[in-house]
Amino acid sequence: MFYLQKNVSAMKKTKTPVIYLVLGSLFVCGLNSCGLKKEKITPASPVRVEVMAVRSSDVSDTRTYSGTVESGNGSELSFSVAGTIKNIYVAPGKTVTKGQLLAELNDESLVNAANIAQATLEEVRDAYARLQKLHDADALPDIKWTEMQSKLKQAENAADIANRAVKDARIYAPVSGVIAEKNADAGQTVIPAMPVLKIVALGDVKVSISVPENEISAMKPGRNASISIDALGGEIRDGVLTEQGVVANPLSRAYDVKFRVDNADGELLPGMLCSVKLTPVVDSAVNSRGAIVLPPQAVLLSADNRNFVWLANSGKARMRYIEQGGITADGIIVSSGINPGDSVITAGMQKISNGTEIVISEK
Amino acid sequence: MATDHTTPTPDSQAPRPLQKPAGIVVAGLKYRRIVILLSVVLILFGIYALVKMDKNEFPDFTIREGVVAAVYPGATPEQIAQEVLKPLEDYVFSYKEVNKQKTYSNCTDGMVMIFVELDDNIQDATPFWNEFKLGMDAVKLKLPAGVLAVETISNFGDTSALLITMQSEQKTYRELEQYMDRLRDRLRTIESVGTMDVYGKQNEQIAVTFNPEKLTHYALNEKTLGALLLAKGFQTTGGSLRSDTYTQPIHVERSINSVNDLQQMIIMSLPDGSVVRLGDVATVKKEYAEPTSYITNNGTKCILLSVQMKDGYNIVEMGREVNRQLDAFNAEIPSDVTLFKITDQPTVVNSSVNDFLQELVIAIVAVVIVIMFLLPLKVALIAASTIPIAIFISLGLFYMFGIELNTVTLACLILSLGMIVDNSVVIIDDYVELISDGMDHRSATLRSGTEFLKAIFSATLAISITFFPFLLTMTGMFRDFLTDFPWALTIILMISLIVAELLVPFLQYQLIKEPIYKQEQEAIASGKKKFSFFVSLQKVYNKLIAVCFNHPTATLVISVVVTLGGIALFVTRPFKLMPIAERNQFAVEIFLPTGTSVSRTSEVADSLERILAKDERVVSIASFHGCASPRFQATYAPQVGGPNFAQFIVNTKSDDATIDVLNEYTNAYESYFSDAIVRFKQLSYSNAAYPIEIRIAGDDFAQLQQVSDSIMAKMRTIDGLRCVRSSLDNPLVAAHVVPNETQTSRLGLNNLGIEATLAMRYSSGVPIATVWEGDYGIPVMLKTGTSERSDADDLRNEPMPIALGASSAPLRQFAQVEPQWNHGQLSHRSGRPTISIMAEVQRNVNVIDRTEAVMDAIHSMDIPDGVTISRGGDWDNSMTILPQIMEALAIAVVIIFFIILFHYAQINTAVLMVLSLLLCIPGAGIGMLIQGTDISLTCVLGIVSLMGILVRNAIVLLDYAEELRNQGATLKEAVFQASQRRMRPIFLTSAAATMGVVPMVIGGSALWQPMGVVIFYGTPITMIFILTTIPVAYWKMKARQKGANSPLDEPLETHMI
Repeated sequence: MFYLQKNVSAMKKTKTPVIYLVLGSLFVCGLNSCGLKKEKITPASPVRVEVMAVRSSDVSDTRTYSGTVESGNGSELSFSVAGTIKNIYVAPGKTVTKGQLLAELNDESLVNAANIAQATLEEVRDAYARLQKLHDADALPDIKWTEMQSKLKQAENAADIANRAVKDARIYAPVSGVIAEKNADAGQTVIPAMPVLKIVALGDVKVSISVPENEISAMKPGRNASISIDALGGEIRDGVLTEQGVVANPLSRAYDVKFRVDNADGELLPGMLCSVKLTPVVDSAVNSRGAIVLPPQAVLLSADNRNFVWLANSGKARMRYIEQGGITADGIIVSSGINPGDSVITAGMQKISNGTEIVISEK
Repeated sequence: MATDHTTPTPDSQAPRPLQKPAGIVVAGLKYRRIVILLSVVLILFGIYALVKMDKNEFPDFTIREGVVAAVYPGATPEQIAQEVLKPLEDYVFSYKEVNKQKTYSNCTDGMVMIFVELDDNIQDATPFWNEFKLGMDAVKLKLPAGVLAVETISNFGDTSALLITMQSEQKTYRELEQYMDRLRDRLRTIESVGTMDVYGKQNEQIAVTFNPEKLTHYALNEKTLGALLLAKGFQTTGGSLRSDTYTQPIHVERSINSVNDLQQMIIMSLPDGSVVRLGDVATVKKEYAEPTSYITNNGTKCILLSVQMKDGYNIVEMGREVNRQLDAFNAEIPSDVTLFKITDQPTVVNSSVNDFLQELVIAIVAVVIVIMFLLPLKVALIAASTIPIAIFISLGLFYMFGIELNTVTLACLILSLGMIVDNSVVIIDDYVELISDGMDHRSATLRSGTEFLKAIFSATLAISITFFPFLLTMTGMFRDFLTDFPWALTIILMISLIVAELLVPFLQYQLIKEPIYKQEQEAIASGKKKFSFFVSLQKVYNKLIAVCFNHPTATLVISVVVTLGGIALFVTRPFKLMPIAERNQFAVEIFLPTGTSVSRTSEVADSLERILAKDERVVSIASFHGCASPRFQATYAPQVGGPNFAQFIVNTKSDDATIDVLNEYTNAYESYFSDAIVRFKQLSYSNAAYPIEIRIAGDDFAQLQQVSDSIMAKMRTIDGLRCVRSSLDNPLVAAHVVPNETQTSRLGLNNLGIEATLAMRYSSGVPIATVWEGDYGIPVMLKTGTSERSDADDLRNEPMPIALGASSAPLRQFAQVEPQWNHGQLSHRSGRPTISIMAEVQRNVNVIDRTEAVMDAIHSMDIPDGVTISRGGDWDNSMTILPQIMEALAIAVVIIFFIILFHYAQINTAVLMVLSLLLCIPGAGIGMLIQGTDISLTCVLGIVSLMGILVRNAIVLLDYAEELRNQGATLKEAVFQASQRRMRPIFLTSAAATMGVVPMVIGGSALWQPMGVVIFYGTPITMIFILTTIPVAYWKMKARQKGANSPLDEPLETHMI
């Protein structure tokens, strides 16, 4: 570049430094594409937010209870006579049908006793027949006739009892079901009312839950519940409240409440764990009114410790105080402050102030 | 160090050059063989040093920051601020080393972090931290029992030299970790490798997931289950068998070695022989825990190795050795496992040092060309030869004194190029002039070396010394940055002085025998030679100076006006003290509101990553989900990770591509995701965490929040600001469990028990034992189905064990679950509650200017008493430094004043010179205007060098004038002649200085360009003033003085310092 100065420098005296400067700056500027690259200061573009249209939804009372499956008609079977067990025909787990013979006692003495009673009865009957003729002929004093009548009745009853005792030496299945327990074996002598077998009826089972005292009032017979059974992979069955306990469990301070559940397929087995969810009662005062539920992050706290939300209102963010009504699985219940149809901002709250311009982003 | 180089000062008293030549020049000529030998040896040593020297991009920065973190699960931020933060703060602030102003803390749900900033004057923080950690043990006792851990992290400031990711599509994390162990073993063999940390590991775990209800039916609870497992997995001493002669330890075999063992473990056996196994009541499986944080590289899962370098090693050398190990390692791992270096300091350093060395070489060539062009060949050869000689000798000395080669010392070399030739040129020029006047060679040599010795010594000293005040006044990172600068400059300049005095006289004596200038003039006059630049220039200048002397007042007035204009131009330039760093990478930080889950954060991060990955300028994206990267650049302070945070390190094709990508994406995507704030962070030398930060401090928190809300609303309307947000963050909605006292006590429960049970069931699990597979320990975690996903209803229905699990009752039976709003984050600064409002600034818009705009807006607001508002961010950074720079400048001016005072022993001359320092400003201002440069630290350094150059030239000029007056010339005549006579060397050295920085200006380095610009434009413009204004001003001043004490027309007495 200094060559360029040859011609110029001689011409004007003060130009040299100026030219030096100008050429120098052009030189640097040219190589640097001139560092003057400042941007115009602009306002921030409207904040992108996500909104949710407020609508009233049912807030279901989703209380769940832990329950256990119990047998619907479980009964302990025993002999009503004493004796030695002759045979037990079933083993635990065996399915039996109603009327099936399950066990019998050694009934020889009973049969003998029955035979004796029968013989006595025959004898009394015979005597009765004879005396009747006398009586018909008015040849018998009334007192004797009455005596005979009573004797016959006694003998008939005695025979009856003896026969029944023979029958009682057998246990028949009272219902169709499964043998749950077997407590005695052949050869064992049992006394009446000592449990020998336990039979569990299928078809209907019960689910028992513990209900805390403050919730027991809602437990009216006839309420429906959906019951999910863990052991069946969370399979859901319907249940109807049938029994309501009246004594609290001393440990958990809760009452037993039972639901009847259909078990036609026999899959529900006593002892299974399940969780019981009460179906909302439609006419209940609490549940009939819909409530507004917002995602938790949409409800904020102002400097004066009040809850508020941001509403999207014709392209601007507006602050709106609300009253909260508790927390549910879906979020915060808003009891007042916003109405169905309002657009509540659910994302981008950290970027807005009252009146900030917003655009709604499609998520 | 500086004093070592003052030795050449001749001890002769005031030299009367006409009579007595300086000893040093005589000695130099006398012992010329020794001088040459010494020079050669020193140059060779310099070349050796250049190869061996420690090379770094930047001087070592001491990061004086540490973090104290405490974990207090289940506590709200308010609770933590009161119960934990207070005692911790009391302790932290009891240390005088702690910088109270800069220490701040953040309380979030269940956690507090105190960022402890140490005072800037602390050079080695290790002893402090050791003492601090010891004292911390006592403080821990004062904290609430619920505080689980208090950790002091003092290596927060450690910078990774290398970040290496290891990724694979097919291999599991466990396999990757094994490969990583092998890699670490390899790297550990390298001497210079310091701490190595692995990030992003995911541990296998054995999850024992139980159903609390089910346990109740077995009359068990998780505590008994936990105790059982613990007993099986715990190893303790089995005692020993002692005989008289021998002791045998007893080892009890651990019975759990696999998942199957766990499943089969009997947890309950009944008298009738039936047993309950763990597998019956819980599911046992081996799994990777749901990650709270993980790292991907280009979308592939990876683990990350951070490698630090030990102090005092050559990073380039370390990089080379690491590469060698990596190559060998690559050969032995499967092909689907790949390694990638995300950040590679050694390469950056190598290329930046190489670039700078190249610039230095170009600068030397440029200067030599200019000298060749401007001076007769022989003169040029001698002058130019002094540059490499001085530089190599200086490099050797750098090496000896442990000054490393980094961009600062290299910039120093470039800066000094013009000044190096200056000393020699002054001497040669004088010599040629003398022989042209008919003096014999020997006398001319001696006289030329002596005549200006004092002048060039004073001038050199002035330039060297002016940078030292920076070391006195600056603190912190900037001080670290500048530490070597004055020393390096002093060494170079003193060496150039010695070379000029010892070597140059000999060379000129040998090489220049003819009166070159005279010949030249004659040649022109006789028309033999058509054109000589200097002859023409001299003609022009002679006319100019004549005009100036004829119109002294006009000259001075114009100078004053131009100076004032220049000052006005200068002070209106925007501030940007520390510029951006040109890198082929940048960082992206993604913040979501408190409470956001990692999966949502990852969703945002992944979609942004996909957008960025489509750009062909983007080479790779390392993505940190739920955590932050290690500090990969000294001034990049990593954020504190958390589930609501993600970060990228994006590598691009080139430095320019980084800028293009940032320009394009910043505006489009910083607010693209409605729930996220995305910061595109270009690496810079500013260590402010946020460009704009307004801090609102006060004791009434509600008031603070109100003020911050209104300030935030105001700031959102200010142009140029982006992503205005508050440190409070969105509130976090907690599920607040309020137990009913009567109910709880009737059930035999208590709050602690409830909390413990919930903590077990609603956390990611409780580790209860470890199963060892070789050296890989797998924790056994006890957890429930609600550990991973749960909602408020689950909590209400949670069956709580009663009477040790004999029965259970749902939580809602005895407790209410209510929403509770807590602040997302509470912050303290200097121990006071503070809310910070952070804002980004539109790209390519000046931050300081926008900060001022914010403050203007805030001043127009009504701020209640008790609330103080202060500025942080870049503004604070700059404004802490600015007074320090100003002080340094002021001290430099004072030093110059005294040097001149010693030199001339005249106060008014000194005052005139100090005033004339202002003449540097217009040139600098014009240059910055033309180039659009902001006022930065290096720009101030440039101005200081301009001042040095100005003083130096002025001294040389005025000394000559005084010389002429001593010879009997009148004042005006002397000054006039001296100006004419000194124009050539002054022009020459100015041209050399200007040319020296051309590569710096063209290079466009954001850091050094401002300095280059100031010198490139400032030197010639200042030169004009030196050659016009100063002679006229000096003449006028002296004339007035003479008029005042008329009779004594005493020649100026000069003294040696």
